[in-house]
Formats: sequence, C-alpha cells, structure tokens
Amino acid sequence: MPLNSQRDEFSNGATELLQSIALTAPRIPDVFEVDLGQLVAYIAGTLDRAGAGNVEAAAVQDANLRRRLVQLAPTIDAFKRIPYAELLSASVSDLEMRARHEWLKIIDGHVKLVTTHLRETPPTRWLALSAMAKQGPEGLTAFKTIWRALFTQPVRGVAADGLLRLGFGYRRSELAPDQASLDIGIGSPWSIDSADFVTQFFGQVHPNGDVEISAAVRPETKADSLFVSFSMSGRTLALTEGKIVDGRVRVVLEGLADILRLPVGPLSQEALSARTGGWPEQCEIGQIVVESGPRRPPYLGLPTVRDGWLELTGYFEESEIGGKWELSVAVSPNSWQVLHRFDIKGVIERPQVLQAALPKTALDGPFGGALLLKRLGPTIV
Amino acid sequence: MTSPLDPIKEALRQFSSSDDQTREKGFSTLVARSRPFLIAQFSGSRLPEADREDVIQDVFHRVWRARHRLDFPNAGSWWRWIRTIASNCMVDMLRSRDPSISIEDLENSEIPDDELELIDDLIDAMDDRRRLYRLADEVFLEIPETMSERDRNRRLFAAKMLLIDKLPWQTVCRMLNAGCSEDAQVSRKQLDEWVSSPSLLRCLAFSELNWDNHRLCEYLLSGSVNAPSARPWTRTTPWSADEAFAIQLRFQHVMLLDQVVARLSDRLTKSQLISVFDSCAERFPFIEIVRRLNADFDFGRRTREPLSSQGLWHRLVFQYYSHNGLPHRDIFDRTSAAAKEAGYMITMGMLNVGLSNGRLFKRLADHLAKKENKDAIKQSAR
Repeated sequence: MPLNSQRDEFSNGATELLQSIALTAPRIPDVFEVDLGQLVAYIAGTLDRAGAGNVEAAAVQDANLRRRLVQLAPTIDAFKRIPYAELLSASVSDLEMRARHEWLKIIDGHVKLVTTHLRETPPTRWLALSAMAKQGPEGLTAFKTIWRALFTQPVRGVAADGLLRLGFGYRRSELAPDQASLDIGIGSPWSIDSADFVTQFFGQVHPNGDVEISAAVRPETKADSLFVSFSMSGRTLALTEGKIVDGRVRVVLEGLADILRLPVGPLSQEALSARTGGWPEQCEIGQIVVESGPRRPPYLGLPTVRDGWLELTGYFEESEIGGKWELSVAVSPNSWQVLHRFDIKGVIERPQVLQAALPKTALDGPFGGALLLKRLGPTIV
Repeated sequence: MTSPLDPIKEALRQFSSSDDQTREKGFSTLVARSRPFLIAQFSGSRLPEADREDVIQDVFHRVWRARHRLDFPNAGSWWRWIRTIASNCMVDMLRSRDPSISIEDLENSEIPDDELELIDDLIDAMDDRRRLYRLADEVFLEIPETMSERDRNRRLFAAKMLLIDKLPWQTVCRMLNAGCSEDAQVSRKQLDEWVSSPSLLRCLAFSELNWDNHRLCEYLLSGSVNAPSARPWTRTTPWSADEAFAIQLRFQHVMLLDQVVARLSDRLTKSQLISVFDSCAERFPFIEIVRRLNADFDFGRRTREPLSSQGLWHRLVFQYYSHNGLPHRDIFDRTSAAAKEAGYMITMGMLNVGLSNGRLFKRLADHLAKKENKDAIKQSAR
C-alpha cells in the first residue's frame, strides 16, 4: 500500500488524539548501559537470560560495543590459559587489566560459591548441586558450570572455535522425548551392584520435575544406606545416599528430571544404579575429568583446599620425559581456567601432591567443583 | 515517588481506589503523564501561551474535584475525557475574556463510535513504547509475531556481525553461543538462514538507518559515522559555538527554523542559519548508509529487495514521526534521498497525505485487532 493510499483511514478526531498521545508519551531508553563487566560475563556465559539479552540489544545498536566484545573474547581465552597465580601478576595493557579484573571476579566468585556450598566429601552429589543452584543467580550459574563441565559433551559444529570446546551436552532436538532417558544410559542393563541385597528398585519422574527413587532391601542386610547414582554420557552422577529404614529406601531428588529432560513416568532402568558400601567407581571421576590420551591415567585422591591451595594427590606412571599435567577448574558454563602446570618426570611409585593456588575466596575443605587434569606434552605450545 | 514512565493503566486503577493515599498516587502519575499531552493540545491553539499553564491547572483541578464520580475502564477513555475537559477549560478561559467568541472552531473533532475500540486498543499499546514499536515492526518490517524480542535481537546481532562488521561466521557463532544453553546453540546453517530472511534484513536496514535526534546531532557536530561516546564539545568540530548550538536546537531538540532564528537572533542571521542547516542536510549519512547496505546485501542469495521495500520506509517514517517527533519536512529530508538511492520513492505530497488521517496508526490498530482476535479464539479454544 503506498504511503498516500486513500483507504484505511481514521477520522480526524481519532488521528489527532493518537498523534497527541504518540508525540507526548515518555520515551523509554532503547537499551541499557553495558559495562565491561557485563561484556566479560557475556563471553564467559555467566549472565542470566535477561542480562545476555541486554548485551545483545545494546550490541545491535552500538558498533563500538560489538567491536569491543569481539576483541575481548581472545583476551579472555588467553587469560584462561595462564595459570591462575601467574595471571594475578601478568603484565597486561590497560584494557586487559580491566578485563582481567572482571575475569578474576568470575573465578573468585565461582570458587567462593563452590567451596561454600559443596563442602561434603566428594563425589559431589545432586542434592548439594541442586541446593547450590537455589542460591540466587550466581548459585544457578555455578551449578550450570559444574554440570556442563562434568556431564555434557561437545556439540557438533561449534567445537572448532575454541571458546565452546568444553561443556556442552546433547541437544534436545536430537533425541526423541521418549528416547531421551534411554540414550543417555551407560548401556548396561539394570545396574544394581548389590543385587543380592536389593529386592526392588524403582525410579519415577514426576510432572513437577522431581525424581523419586524407592528401593526395598533384604532384612538381613547390614548396610545403613544405599548409594544411588545416575549415569549419562559415560559419566556417573552421585545422586544421594539414601538411609535404609525398615528395609526400605525412599528419596526425592528435586528438579533432577528438569535438568536431565527426563520424560514423566518410570525412569529408564539403564540409567540408574544402586549399591551398598560406597559410590560406584565412575563417580570418582565425576569430580575430575582426566584427559590422558593414550597414556595410563593417574590414580587420584580427593581434591582438597588447604590454606588457599588446591591439593590433589595422584599416582602417576610416566614413561616419557618432558611432559606436563595441566590442572584446570571450571569457572563458568563455557570456560575452564588453568590453575597450574606440573612437571611429572619419570616413573613415580610414590604419590605426588599437586598443589595449585586458588583465589583467596576459597574455603578450606573438600573441593566440590569440576576439575580437569590434562596431559600435555612433551612440548607445550 | 511517581514517574511519567509508570503505566497509565496502573495509575487509573489507583485513581479509582477508595483509599485516599492510593488515589493521590494515581493522580500524581496521571498529572505527570498528561501534562505534555495538554501542552501539545494547546500549542497552535488560540489560547495565549501565557494562559496555558492556568488552563492546565484548571484541567487537573476539575479532574480532582470529580474524582469520586470518575471511572476509566481503559487508557483510551482517560485520554478522550481529558481531551474534552481540556477543550472545555480552554473555551471557558477564552470566553471569560471575550464572551462573543465562537466555540465551533475550538471544539475537538469527534471520534466516531466505531473507531473507539480500535483507538483504545492502540492507546493501550502506546502506553508501552516497546509494544507500539513491536507492532510497527510486525506490520511494516514483517517481523513474525511469534518471534520473541530476545530472538529478534540475537538474529540482528548476528546479522550485524556478519554483514556489517564482516566477521567470519565462526566468530559470530562463538559470540552468539557464549551465553546460551546447549539447546540454543547457533550453527552456521542457522546463521545463513537468518541472514537470508528478507524481514530480518529489513529489520537490519531499519536499525542502521534509524538515527535518533541525539545521535544525528552528535554526528553532524563531529562528522563521525559511529557517533563516539565523547561529548561533542570535546572534539574538533567544523562549527563555531553558536552554529553548534543552533544545530543542537534544530536537530536534537527539533526546533523549527523560525524558532531557532528567534532564539539566536542576536548571534546568527536567518540566512546564516539556513546555510548551516543546509550544510547539515548535505552531511546526512543516510544515502551513504543505503549504498553500504546495498553492497552488504547484494551477494549470494540475498537481494536488494529489503532496501527498496515500502515496509522499511514506512517503518522509518513512522519512527521519525511518532518517536522523534519530526515535522513532515524533516522526515522528508531524512528519508527521501536515501529512499531514492534504495529504489523507493518518497515525495512531500505522499508524506503529507500518508501521515494525515492516521493511516499508519490505522494499520497498527488493524493489526492489533487481528492479533487480539486471534488470541481470543485461542483462549476460547482452550
């Protein structure tokens, strides 16, 4: 319709009224101010939906902001590769210094939350994770950080750009809803390690997103509790330690089905496991992702924070000289921060304690965050 | 503490409360929101400027006195009523000075009953500017109704990085995917689909061509396409201080030439001002932006169609008119040459006719009515 079309008109009275209102209504600013901290947080993936939307809306309007955002990404990438203690004192330009300040705030905040809320003896359990997720937006981000780092895989097509190399899971669209729970199991049928003791074991997904697990245990069982875990993508999540009362165990895991996108109804048998006497072995690596390549992975103890240092005891069997092990911590939903690189020379028969500086915000005790121990080498680029 | 940004519907609800404190709060918001409307009503009227504030006070006194009898079911009923009261107060004031004055030419034009519902719906949308502009985007740029604001911004963000900033697709995906969950990750294929969409390209062109008064003024003062954040007076400028002030009055505060002449008569002559403003018009960036967009869009499967589409130019005209408050001549100056460069024709006559009789508003109102009708059908189906 041309601008001067003769049809579809309002009366003069209506037009005058509409024009007067339109021309005198208050103007709401199109976008909010976006500071450097928000840009760094956007790149780190720590903004909530509204915050990320604000950055995008501002970037649509402002070419300088887009330029700065794109410039910041490799700077943050470089920070991630610098061991934490060195990053604190690294010589950087003025803009990098301010970006580093914001990046360190993200690291410090995450470590503080994790060491405050995940203080139980590893492996980190669902109950602790979900409780942390309820500690406001930061708690939810910390939860996502650990979740993506430990329990998801790279997504096809976006891994090559570097930033998103780690911490991405299956896509909902790739799984039919009724197959979702089947596809994420470890493939073994009905995994009850203590089958002699457990007579019934049942998982139910409720419409509110909770998962209820109930089990019956033979009366002669001497165990006090049942260790219930959930396997997905080759990793096992410790769910909870359910107390045995009168031969029965019943636990409710709030919100688990929402996160795993499990369909309402009976829970797939392949994904659940229960045992007495301790956690399944897979749970031990739920805390620490080890990338050792063709080499034999080390046997690792439990990570602990002591006087501002992360301590990790390990037995390493090294046949090569010159390699290094790099220890990183997941600090945002799409980022790992290198904490330290260690020289492990020769065949070591004694345990070695790897020590890496943590932010001052770290509280002493077991460390419940997600760690990555990666073999580099022999040459580090 | 009330603000002109408070929703008028909430203010009306408060105003009809039986609690005096709540009623006063609502009244305070209504006063803040209605004052500019009343000033606009009286500007250009026969009411002397010196009397306008008295009449406005009279309007609000009458509103307050009648507070127990008033009930406004929607914002439209409020605006229609306040418009009538304002007209009555003006007549009373003028007649107090000259009892023989005729009131026929002082009365407001009538609004036919069959338009009231549409008008009221649109006025409700106007209470939230974003909603009004969203409607305009749907009608003129053909942005799908179902697309969320966030989704649209993400796509625009992507298109700008890819087409305007010329960043490689990997970088674009990386930026887009940094902050979103795994099931919202954007692939190259999706990116290509986005930037092949005519409605998104229209949206992008609108975003590039739509400069608010402040930005245009900064640009004219500095000559920079991306108006820098530094204040204009800290940069080197081709203008004298008086000329720069005149440019601010004309292009930022949208004063007409005669108003600027009256304001600066002791510093610049009318011919000097005309020369400055003509020079500014020659420096408008819009033709250059169209040329750049033509080059940006004109490859692969993309075409120039989004730039020459009437929807794009109608959207711009609507924005300049309803948001920037530009007179027709200024809208013409900012759009006609750029539209011609893009392959679309805008004449002064088209603008005058097109912007009179609320044609653009009518299209929004019709669209809104259809949307609400759809919503009602959906609701009843449930």
